[in-house]
Amino acid sequence: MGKYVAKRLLYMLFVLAVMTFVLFFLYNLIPGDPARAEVEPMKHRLKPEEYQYRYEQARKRLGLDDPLIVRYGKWVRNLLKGDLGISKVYNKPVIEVLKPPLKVTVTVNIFVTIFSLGITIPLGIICAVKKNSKFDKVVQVFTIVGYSLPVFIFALLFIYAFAVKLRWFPVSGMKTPNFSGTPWEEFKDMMHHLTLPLIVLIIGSLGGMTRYVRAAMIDALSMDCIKTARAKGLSEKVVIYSHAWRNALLPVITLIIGWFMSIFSGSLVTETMFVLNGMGKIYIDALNNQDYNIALAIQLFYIVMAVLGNLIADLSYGIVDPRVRVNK
Amino acid sequence: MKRKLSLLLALVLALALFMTACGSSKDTATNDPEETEQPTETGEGDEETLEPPAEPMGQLIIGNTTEMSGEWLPYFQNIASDYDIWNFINGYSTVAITFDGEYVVDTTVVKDYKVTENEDGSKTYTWTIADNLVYDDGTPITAKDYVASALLWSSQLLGEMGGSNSYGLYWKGWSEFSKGQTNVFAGVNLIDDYTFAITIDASNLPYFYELPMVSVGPTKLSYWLDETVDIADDGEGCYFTVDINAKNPDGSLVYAEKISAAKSNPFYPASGPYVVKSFDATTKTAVLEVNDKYVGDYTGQKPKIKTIIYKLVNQSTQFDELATGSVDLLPENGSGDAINAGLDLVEQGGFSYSTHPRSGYGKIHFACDFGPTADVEVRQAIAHLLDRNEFAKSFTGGFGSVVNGPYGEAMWFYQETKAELNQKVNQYPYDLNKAIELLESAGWTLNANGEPYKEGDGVRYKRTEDGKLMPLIIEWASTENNQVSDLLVVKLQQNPDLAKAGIQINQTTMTFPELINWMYRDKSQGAEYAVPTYHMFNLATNYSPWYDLSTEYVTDPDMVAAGYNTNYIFDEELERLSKEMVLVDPNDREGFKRKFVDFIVRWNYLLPDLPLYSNIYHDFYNDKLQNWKMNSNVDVTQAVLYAWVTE
Repeated sequence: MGKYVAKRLLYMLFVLAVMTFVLFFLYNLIPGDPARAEVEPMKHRLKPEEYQYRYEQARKRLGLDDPLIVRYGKWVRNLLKGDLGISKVYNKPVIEVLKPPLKVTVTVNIFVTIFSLGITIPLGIICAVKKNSKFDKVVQVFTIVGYSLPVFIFALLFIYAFAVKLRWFPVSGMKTPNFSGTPWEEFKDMMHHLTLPLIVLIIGSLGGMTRYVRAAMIDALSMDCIKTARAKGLSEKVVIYSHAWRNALLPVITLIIGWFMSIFSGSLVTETMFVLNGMGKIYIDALNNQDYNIALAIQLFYIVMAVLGNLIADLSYGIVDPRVRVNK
Repeated sequence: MKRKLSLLLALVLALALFMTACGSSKDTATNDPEETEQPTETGEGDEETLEPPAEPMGQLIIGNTTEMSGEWLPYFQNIASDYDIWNFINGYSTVAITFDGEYVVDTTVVKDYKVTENEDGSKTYTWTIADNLVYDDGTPITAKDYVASALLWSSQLLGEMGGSNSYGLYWKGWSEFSKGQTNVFAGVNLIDDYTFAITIDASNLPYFYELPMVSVGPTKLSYWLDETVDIADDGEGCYFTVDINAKNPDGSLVYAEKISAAKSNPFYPASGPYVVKSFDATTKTAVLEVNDKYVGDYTGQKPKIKTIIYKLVNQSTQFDELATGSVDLLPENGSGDAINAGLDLVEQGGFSYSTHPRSGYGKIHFACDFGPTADVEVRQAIAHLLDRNEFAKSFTGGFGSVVNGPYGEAMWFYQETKAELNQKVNQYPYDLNKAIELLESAGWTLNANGEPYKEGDGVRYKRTEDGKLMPLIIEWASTENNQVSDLLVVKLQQNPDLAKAGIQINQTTMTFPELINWMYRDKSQGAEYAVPTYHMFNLATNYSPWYDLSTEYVTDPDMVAAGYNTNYIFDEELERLSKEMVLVDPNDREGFKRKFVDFIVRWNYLLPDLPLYSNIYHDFYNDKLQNWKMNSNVDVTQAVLYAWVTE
């Protein structure tokens, strides 16, 4: 087991090394001159020689005169020291820029994950057990609708209904400006602001997971072992939750782990609509503003999360199903 | 286990419902929509609310679509909303700008001043500041604080940290000081506790905008560096008593960490009308409270609103925020959709709006040194083939105007010369025959076979000096996801009259940085960019009240190579006029206006750019805001100073 994990970790390092190389070179192939962008606002006020001097200093400071491979080497060296570079837009370290959005995204996603899994798993199981019943059909229709409609439609509708018309919730944000209170009051204020985005995110994620759990459970319920369990006279509850769910869990676990890993991933649409300063929004802003150090850092972070998620999923299979447990 | 899991899920759901119920409770929000909604039916407000309060009161929430970074210092980035906060907390500059866009000495700050013309052609402004100025913490503001700005924000340290150290770039000795070649700033002198002097370098004189060149504000040095750093002057100029450009053995700058920490802390010492009370990086919201030690702006005006909240809003839901009271003011809306949404709200009642013209415009930017657009007649013909009034109407939804030169309609010198300009400039009305006439006068009279051009021959040709035939095909570089580009395709590129005139425009869509590379012909980014390829670009430009275009149309090859004159228009008269306009005595207003008119007339004939639309900005606000008077000469912070709210 230890050897397998070590091998996978080595493989992860290799993947990361390759990806840093590919991403760094891709981003640096995009046309643009950060040094010129930096000194451009001063251009009309500076004499030509002063402008040129400052332009050259900026190129030197940003390391733009070095060959690409040298720049890559320096970037990797800094990366290993935890230095992800400087944001072009904010002119401060990338890590400093990314801390607040990461906090927002994780906060929001923890709630979304808990609620989504809490709703979709029981719902999927019930639909499978009551396959083709009226309840199942109604849920199927709603999940299809939820699955098909873009999230921003829900966002706009909910804002109009619950914020503009009914005024139950604020239109955007995470807390009331200039609000101060006890930690509990602040938490309540945050939840008041987050209710609408949470509902939108949860609705957006219900369809896929519910249908996936339902399909896995239907497969599991048709297995011979389930027939045997029923023939043995076990109660339906034990058959469903102990025998069938255990068998259905194997395909579902990939999604569940993916969901937990996605706690760090932002939702571009929801964050933009509700003005939440999260990872999705900052990523698209970074791309739009050509702030490539930020974009590169976020992509690398997601790659790390993806390969880590794969490893955890593989190890989890063994826990759920001893037949695929890795012993070497 | 399963039972426990079910119980847990039920608890989570119950908690969600409970939170939702709690969340709607009024006690969680100090600015609940129901509390801020005004039932006023008209946008004018009651008579009794027109009187400003004696003391600052109330709260104003300003919605902004630009994210704040939380670092207000403007020398490291140029985020507009950060700069607004910087202006809220910084005041007491020696020179102020009026609502008319004119620069004046701030007599609240300056007790006395003297202007001396020196033998070497330089000019010295000796400022004596008032002795009643203090920061928000009560620390007195002295001449040393003004000198500190001059030295710190011009220092080599700032430049090496990646900041803009051009604070004193017009002053004597700035170049050497900013590069670290000397530690003495020759153009800055400390005379006594309340007197200091700034000397403008002779090479920058005469200059019409002399006053803003000597504008200095205070900087609390102990906050940005530390208590050990002082400033001295032995008569040759000011210097820091400690080498702030010093480096550690590993090459890092000794004071860089200190400055980085200071600029990242949102609570800068305040000399302006407001103090930052809080900044929330997760919601991008800044709360400012009135600085009760602020003695006023150049007219002695003090803030009348107690709390200002600067809040990030989304363009698509910003009017929902205004409608529900989550924001009170949405300044400078330029798009037709946004303005119509705002006007709908005003119609419903409880809201008002004010308008002001943008000081700038969207434009077609021509490369004037090669290909068809090197001919002024071609540029003029294109102007005649684009119905700019219709274009502006379509793009701005009817909330825009067309200008005929590089100016903003709120500029005082435009306002005072408007009648004369309207008579002298060509409006370039839509006229196919005039366009054809212009093209023929410039020699675009042949078809692809070199025979005389006749209707239906397609693209026109012209025989160049080397005997070759040049087609009237214009290569256009446009940016992606750009509504102006989309509209230009419809209104210009696909205009049947363009083909009738014998012109073809080919569009190439690219990213903005790539477009800039092509425009600058920047060979450092790739050899291909050095080859002139595109004849026109669609861009936008804005003008500040400090109106100086003297380097925009230079003909000196070195300056052109350095990135000045991106129109590549080599017209000595245009260059002379652009320079002469600002090289006049600051008191010679009439001379400035005369030269401005001459410059605009020449520019309007040459058309290095074709202005397409200039927005009429709309500020929307709820009726609790009174006396909101914004224009493009001032920023939102200045307008806030004269406004008040009714609660």
